[in-house]
Parts: sequence; structure tokens; C-alpha cells
Amino acid sequence: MTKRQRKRSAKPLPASRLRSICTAKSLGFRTTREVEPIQTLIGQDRALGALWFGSSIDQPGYNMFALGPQGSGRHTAIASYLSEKAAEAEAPEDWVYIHNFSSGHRPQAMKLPAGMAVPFRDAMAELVDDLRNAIPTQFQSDEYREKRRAIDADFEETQERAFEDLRKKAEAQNVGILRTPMGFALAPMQNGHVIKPEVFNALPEVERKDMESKISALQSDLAAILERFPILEKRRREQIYNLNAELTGMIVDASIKSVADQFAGVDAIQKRLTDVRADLVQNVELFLQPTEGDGNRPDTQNLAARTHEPQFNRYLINVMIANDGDGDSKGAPLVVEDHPTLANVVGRIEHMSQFGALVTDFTMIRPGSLHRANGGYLIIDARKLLTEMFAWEALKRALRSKKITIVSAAEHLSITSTISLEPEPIPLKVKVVLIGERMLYYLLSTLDPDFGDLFKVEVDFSEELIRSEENTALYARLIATIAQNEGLRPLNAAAVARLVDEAARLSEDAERLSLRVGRLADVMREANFWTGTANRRQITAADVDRAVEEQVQRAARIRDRSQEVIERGIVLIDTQDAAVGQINGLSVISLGGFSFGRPSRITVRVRMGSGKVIDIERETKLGGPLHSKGVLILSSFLAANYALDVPMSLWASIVFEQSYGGVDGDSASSAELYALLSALADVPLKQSLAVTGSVNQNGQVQAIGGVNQKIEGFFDICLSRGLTGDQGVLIPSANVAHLMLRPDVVKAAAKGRFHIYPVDTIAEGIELLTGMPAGQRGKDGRFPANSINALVEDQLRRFANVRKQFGENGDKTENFAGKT
Amino acid sequence: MTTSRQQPGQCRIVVGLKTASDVESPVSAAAILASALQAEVVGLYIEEDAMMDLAGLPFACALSAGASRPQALTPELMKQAISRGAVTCRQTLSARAETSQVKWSFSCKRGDAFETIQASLATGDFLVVPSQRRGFDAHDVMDELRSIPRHARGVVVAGKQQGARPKGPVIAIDDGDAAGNSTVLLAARIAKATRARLMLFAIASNDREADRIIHRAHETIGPAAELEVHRFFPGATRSMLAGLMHVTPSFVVADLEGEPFSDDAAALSLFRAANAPVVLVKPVNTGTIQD
Repeated sequence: MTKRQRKRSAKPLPASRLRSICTAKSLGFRTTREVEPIQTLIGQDRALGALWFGSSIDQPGYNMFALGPQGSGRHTAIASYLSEKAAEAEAPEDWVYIHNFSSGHRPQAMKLPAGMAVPFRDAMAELVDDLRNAIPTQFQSDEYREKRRAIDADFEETQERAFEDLRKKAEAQNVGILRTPMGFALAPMQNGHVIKPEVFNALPEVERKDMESKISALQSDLAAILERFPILEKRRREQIYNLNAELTGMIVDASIKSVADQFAGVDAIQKRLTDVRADLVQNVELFLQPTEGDGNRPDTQNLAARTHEPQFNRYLINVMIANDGDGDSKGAPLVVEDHPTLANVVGRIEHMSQFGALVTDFTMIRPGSLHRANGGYLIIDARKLLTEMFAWEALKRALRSKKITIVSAAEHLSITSTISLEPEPIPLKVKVVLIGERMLYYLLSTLDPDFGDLFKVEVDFSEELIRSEENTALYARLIATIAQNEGLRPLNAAAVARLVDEAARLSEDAERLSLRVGRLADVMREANFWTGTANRRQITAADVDRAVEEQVQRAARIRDRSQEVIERGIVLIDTQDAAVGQINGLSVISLGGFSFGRPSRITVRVRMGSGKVIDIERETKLGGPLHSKGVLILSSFLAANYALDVPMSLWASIVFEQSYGGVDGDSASSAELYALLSALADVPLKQSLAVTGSVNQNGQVQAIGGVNQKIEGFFDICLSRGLTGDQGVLIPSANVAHLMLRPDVVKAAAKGRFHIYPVDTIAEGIELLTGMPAGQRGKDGRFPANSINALVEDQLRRFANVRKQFGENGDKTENFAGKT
Repeated sequence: MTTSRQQPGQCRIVVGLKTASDVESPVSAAAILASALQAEVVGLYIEEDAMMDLAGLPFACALSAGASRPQALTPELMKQAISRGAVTCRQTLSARAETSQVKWSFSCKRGDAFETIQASLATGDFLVVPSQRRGFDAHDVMDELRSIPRHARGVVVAGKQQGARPKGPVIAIDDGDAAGNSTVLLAARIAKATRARLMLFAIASNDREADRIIHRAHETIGPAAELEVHRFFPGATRSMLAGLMHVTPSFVVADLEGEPFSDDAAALSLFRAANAPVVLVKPVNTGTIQD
């Protein structure tokens, strides 16, 4: 044993060490009405610093991941901080989608100064309205009709003249021009009729040759006329096109000028208007096509509805991002995406059913949260994002490429062949803040190689605050702020003090205060409710107690059942007398948001063997790796401390009795070692004591979690059977700082009816449990006689000797084995 | 299909269809007119002798716009084309007549087109002529119009229309003579059947004459009926051309021998400008159109 292990036996802790109490007087106010609310997060300096850094650095990849426990106020804090930051920033540019005149399925993205998108959209809609009326009206004017008639007349006259000349020429030669199903044909005529074939064939050869020669010549003339027709027709179309273009240009110029003037100096809009003008001139027929019920009269009614006819969409504007740039600035956008599906994040292209087919155009492109947050901040819950199909990959792709590309899930899966759009990606500049649990952060860091490059800022929210006088005052202000924000009744100082204690208990540390403000707010809301039922104006400590008790009561059915089966003797737990190789271990069971302590009987059996300690939990696959580790450590402790000159010839088995649900953690390893020493020394252990704490190879007892629940779990069993004054729990000394026990436990300890023993070493613990000295190795290298250690070593030597004899005499030694 | 047997006093709309004529326009016009007059449409497809004679000539060939070379004509080729034409005519007539819910019949006859059609017309019939408005045979239409039998009630010139079918008004052209009454009445019935507006082109040399024409029109169609009136001076063909082009009529009804169709050149120009079926009512022995 080391020097540390040679300390005197531990004494029970005084009641004052079992619960750190905040007094109402120390707070310095009567009710929370007197307390100034606090506007910033307390105890989150690290997180706030990271948040400031992440939101201020203007470099790619410096997106943030806010990690911390649920209910730590991350969402509220981040949204609040970033909304202030966003309000100070300049509003980013607007983005719109416009029709691509050269490639219709690839809509163009267009950047506009902040605040211009919506006015431009409205102006273009109005322009289309105007043209929808003005163009047909002008094209029905007498002037236009006259010009158009002149072109047609010129064409017809040219055509007719050619026909008439040829007809007369043919007629003069007794040749007729006939229209047949296959085209025009020339035939010799006689008395106004086509000459019969037999008559023609009866003619002298000279006449026939002459006629054929005439017809051949006329045919050449006819062919020349027919060849000219397409050229004439083309010329006519060109003349009409030019006429239409000239007229359209005049109409459009007048309308476009007012839009151009409205957006003077905005180059993108001026260029767009130039393109629109060129397209309008080229496609003026769109405005001349009669629509349903149109007749020949321009319908001045319902023009707004006509603007939305699909053929006019090409001139409209689809606003994707509109920011307020009118001086009454909202600043940069802050978007919280609560439903981060692929479509909600990167946007989507909607379709419309038309005659059984799905059709779309650029006006059906809908923005996603990345569009809305562009130039600002986007907050997404990491777990929700990761559980939505393709959303995480899409977000990463957008951040990596710094562009928003709209891709549907169907396209990802290649399950649709519908013709869709390929909108031009919109440049992306956004700070994304993912909010998630620590485990998610570490998993993503480990498993996703892109994560580290894209989310370089870790905003780590602390779970607890050091319980200093200054911080307790801040905590009181936090409580006052929650009460004010939630519209609760004021709390008196005693209630605040009680909440401070509860915060320490929530953090499982007397020297810390929990920053899970969500849990704290729940207790306050429920206390406020009980205050109301009691018809009081202020929340008191009794209301807080009631809220906590009711919370426990609602969640404690399993705990009560667990205690009941112990009290009825179904689960065997002794709380008095003594037994060899048997000890009360303590474990914590967590179900939902509630956890409680529960004693478990641990037993050990030993015999001669080959130096093996059997962990029955592990053998039956009911023990976790941490539990197995604890058992191996205590084996090592034995081997390193006793009978060093002989082979370890022990066979021991350790088991958690009546445990059917699995055991993990090493907090029972000290209890297991005590039971093992008891079995080897054949000295009984007091069953009035329960033990928790892990042990290392040097026999030091180490801190464990859930110390309060464990103590209270054993206390409740003892209390139900009647406190004897001998009962208590051995805990690691390192856990004393974590003690925030229930007032009833503290009260029992103050009266000397229940004891909490802090222990540093196994030696201290075994002395408490057996009432015998552990024994220190003397100068002769031997432990004092009748000490626990001497008894253990003697037994191990005996096993070694028996084993040796067994090796020499075979099965004759068998009878010496099996001492327990 | 119904039989072509004519009942005494019943009006028929005879569509004379030739091998190379447009089918859709004359058949549609005939169906509308039959619907307005509650008459029967009689389709008559002529397998022209001239076509077979042409195809029998040793050097016969046909030229068409867009074809790179002349196509040789043979009697077999022509027979096939004539047969196809007959099928097309019958199908088109069936479809349009059913759309307009009028009786119809169809027959094919071999012979000279002009003579065969003339012989088929009975008293009170309207003849629908699928005439070309342009081309080598455009001038023939006036010859056909002038030579229809005296017992026929009128003739409809229905050539292929340029562009989309107009949905404009039905125009009655009244030069003030005795036939004007039946012209306006027929136009009113077509307008009612097609739910189109009714418009009157009154040709009058002075205000008094114009007032008389307008008054008579109102008396004919009833005082409640809407009538839009435009006035023209006799011989003002250009003005009337512009008027027709402006209003893009769906039907034009006029007096065959009155203004402006008494002049062939003016009549051809007006056919072209109207770009719609033109119904020309014969002035002699027509009586009135029974309502």
C-alpha cells in the first residue's frame, strides 16, 4: 500500500457539507421586481466570443456549429445575437430570375441593388399590361392596315401580273393553263376544252411537234413564275416583319422609356430592357394572338389577368430575394429554417399540370432559405438537417461552390424525366449556424471530411457556471429576466435561493450552477402555476419545492416500483448485519428526463485457480466495457499488492445479483474490490453501508457520477425500513464537492441517523466496512497479523500452495480447493 | 347521310367541287348557309373530263410551287388523285354538316364541270363555287357567276381564306335596288346563325337614298335588331375595299347584278378584300327569303 493509503479511517461528513445552501438574505433583494434583468448570456463567454468571431470573420468556411446541451438557450441566444448583428449590416443585393431569350430552359439570375427587385417586377408587369393593350390597338389602326395592304397588294399584283401575262400568252397559242391535284398543267385547247388525246394524236406530226414545242416553252415560263413565288413570298414576309418591327418599336419604346427612366443608372435593368425590346420586336405576334372570347375587339377588361397568360411570362420578373433598401433598412437577413428539407433549403421548381403534362417556366422557381438568407445569416437545427434526404449534401455543395443551385430530390434519384429548368446558380454569401448536440458535432468532425472545412468555428455552449458569489447574483438576475420575459409572478428571495440550489443540483455539483435555462424555466413556470393555485402574488420557496416535487412525482413511477420490490424482499438488499463476500453497490438509472439511484447486491466467490477473476456480467454479455475495465483493474490491484512471491492462484467470480438489464460504468469497482477482499479474508462486510466509487490499480478511490441520486436511493431504502444510525454510504472524497443532497437526507445526517463517508483509498473503505484494520506492510515485508491485508495474503498463499501440490499430486489436492 | 331527293319548295345548297379545288372553305360556307336557311347541303363532286383528257396527252405534266421538276401525268395517276379528292370531299362535308346539324348528301359525276353543275341546280338552289381568288383561273369565277341558271337563287363564292378564319361581322351590301331587301334578310339570318354582328354597307348617291336603304333594312330585320351602317358612294370601290379589309367580315351578302359586283374587275378585288364567303343573290324571280 502507498503512503496515501495509510491514512486513518474516514469519518462521516458533517451535515453542512452535504448540501450547499443559498440563503435568501445573501441575495440582497426581496423580490425579483427589484432585480435588473440581464440582456446577455451568463457564463457563456467562450461561446459568445466564438459567435462574435464567426460572424465577423469574412472568409470562406467560417460557418459556425453551436454545440451544447438541449435547453441551454442556444437558439434564443444565437438568434438574438445575430439579429442585432444583422440589423447593423447593410442590406444585400436583390436577386431575380428572368427568362433567357436565347435558351428558354436556362433562366438567368440577375442582381439588383437592394430594394429594386419588387419595383422592377411591378414595372415590368405594368409594361406587359400596357403593351397587351397598346400593341393590338396600334396594329388595328388604319395607318398600319394601309401599309400592310400596300405590301400585300404589291405582292398580289406582281403575282397576278405574271399569271395574267402567261395566261394571255398561252391563250394566244390555244394553250390552256389548268389546275390539277398535282399542280398547274398546260394543255392544247379546242373550243374552250382540252383537246382529246385521240384527236391530238390524229394531228399531223408537224402540228403535234409545234404544239409540244409551244407547251414546252410555256412550261418554262410557268416554272420561272413558280420559282419566283417563294422569293416573292419571302420578300413580302420581310416587308411585313420590318413594318411590324417599326410599329412595335415605336409602341415599345414609349412604354419602355418610362421603365428605363424609373431605373436610370441601374445597368442591369437597362440591359434587360434592351433585350426585352429586341425580343418584343421579334415576337410581337404574342400580343396579336386572339385569346378565348377575344373576338376582334381588344378587351380592355381584365388586363391584369391577361398579364399572367403564359406567353407573356417571358417578360416578367420572378423575385427570389428582395431586401429593403429604401433607407428604412432592415439590414442583412436572418433566417431560421425550422423545416430544412432539400426544397426548403435550396429552393424548388414548381410544375403545373396542363392537359395532363407537367409544365413549368422560370416564374415557378421558388426560393429556399439559402436564397432568403443570402448576404446574411441562416440558422438550422443540425439534427433536423441531417435527417432530411439530400439536404445536408445540398447545403455543403452550396457552401463549397458559393452558389445556390436548385436541384430536386427527383433529379437526385433520377426518377423523373420531366423537362425542367436549369436556373443559373445564384452566388451565395451566407453565414450558416448549425445548432446541435455535442455528439453530432464530434460525429460530423470524425466522419464527414467536408465538415471541418465548412464549419470552422465551434461555438461551444457551457452547461454550467462556477457557483461564486458574483455568479450567484448574476444567476438571480437571470431568474428575474426569465420571470419577466415569461410573464410570471415575481419570485421572493427565498424562492430565488431555492432555484439557485436547484440549479446546483441540476448540474450535479455543489460548486456549479446549471446553465440549462430551459429546465430552470420549466421549474419556474410550474412554480408559478402552484403559486396561482395557492392564490399568492409572489412565488415562494414552497412553490419551487412543490414544482420540483411534482416533477419528481410525475416521473418517479419506475423508481417507486424499484423501491417497492426491495422493501417487499423480492430484490434482496440487506441494510443491517454483516456478510462475507457481499456488499451493497449503487447504480443510477436514467429514464426519460428523470434519474434515480438504486442499490444492488454484489457478491463474490473465491477458490483456488489459475489467477482469473470472472466477471459474470461480462461473461453473460450483460456488462459494458467500462464495467469490465473496472473488474480487470481490481484484479490487477490484487496481483500487485498481495503474495508477490507466489503465482496468483485465485479463481473468483463477481456478480451483480438480480441484475437483468445490463451494467456499465466502473463506479462499482471499489465495491467489487471490497467484496473480493472480504471473501478472501473471510471477514464479513457491514450491510448497513453502501458503496460507490471506482478504483485504480493503486487502490485509490476515484470520483463517479450521480453521487446524489445514489446516496438518496440507498437512503430511501433505509428510511423505509427504519434508520438505525449505522447506515450510510461510502463515496469518493473527490465527490464531496458534488453533494447537493435532498433536505431530508441532510436532516437525517445532522441527527446522526445516516452517514456519508468520504474515502480516498480502499484501505479506508475496508476498515469502515469490516471494523478491522486494513494493515500496513511492516519492515519485514509482512502485514500485521489479524489485519485484513494479512488475511487476504495468507489466503492467496494457501491457494498457491494448494495449486503447487495439485500440480505435484494430481487429483489428490482437489479437496483443499473451494474455500469461500 | 340523307338522300338528295328534293322536296317541293325546299331550298338546297349545292356545293360544286372539282378535282383541284379547295374543299374546306366552300363546304364550311355551305354548312353555315344551310344552317341559316334550314336547308340541305348537296355535295357534288365532278370527275372532270378535262383532267382525264389532259392526263391522256403524251407530254402531260404538272408544275407546282416548291417542286424541283415537273411531274409527268398519266391517266392512272389522275384517276387515283380524283378518287382521293372524292373521299376528302365526302369526309369534309360529313364533318361540317354534322357540326352545323344540317341535312346533307354527296354524289360524284363524270363530265364537264361547268355543264354538270349547271344541270344539277334546281329552282331556289344556292350554288357554292369553290373559286380561287388568285391565280390563272381566278377570272373564271365571274363567268361562272354570270351563267348560273335563272331559276337558281344565288351563288356563294367561297375560296381559300388567308390567315385565320375571321370572326368579324356579316355584311349586307345594298345598292338600293329591289334585291336589297332579300340581301339584308339573308345576311341577318346568317348573322343570327353564326352569332355575329350585322353590318350594312349602304351604297347611295345622296342622303335621301341612303336613309331609304337604312329604313328598309330596319323594317326588314325588325327595329330591335342591332345594325351597324356604313355608307359608300356608287363607284367608290377603293373605299369599300378598305372597309372590307378593316372589318374582316365572316360573311358578305350582296346583289349579284347590283353595285359593285356588276363590274368584273371590281368584283374580283372585293372577293379578295373580303377574304370571306361572298353570297350573291340573283335579282330576278327571287321573291323573298322565307323566314
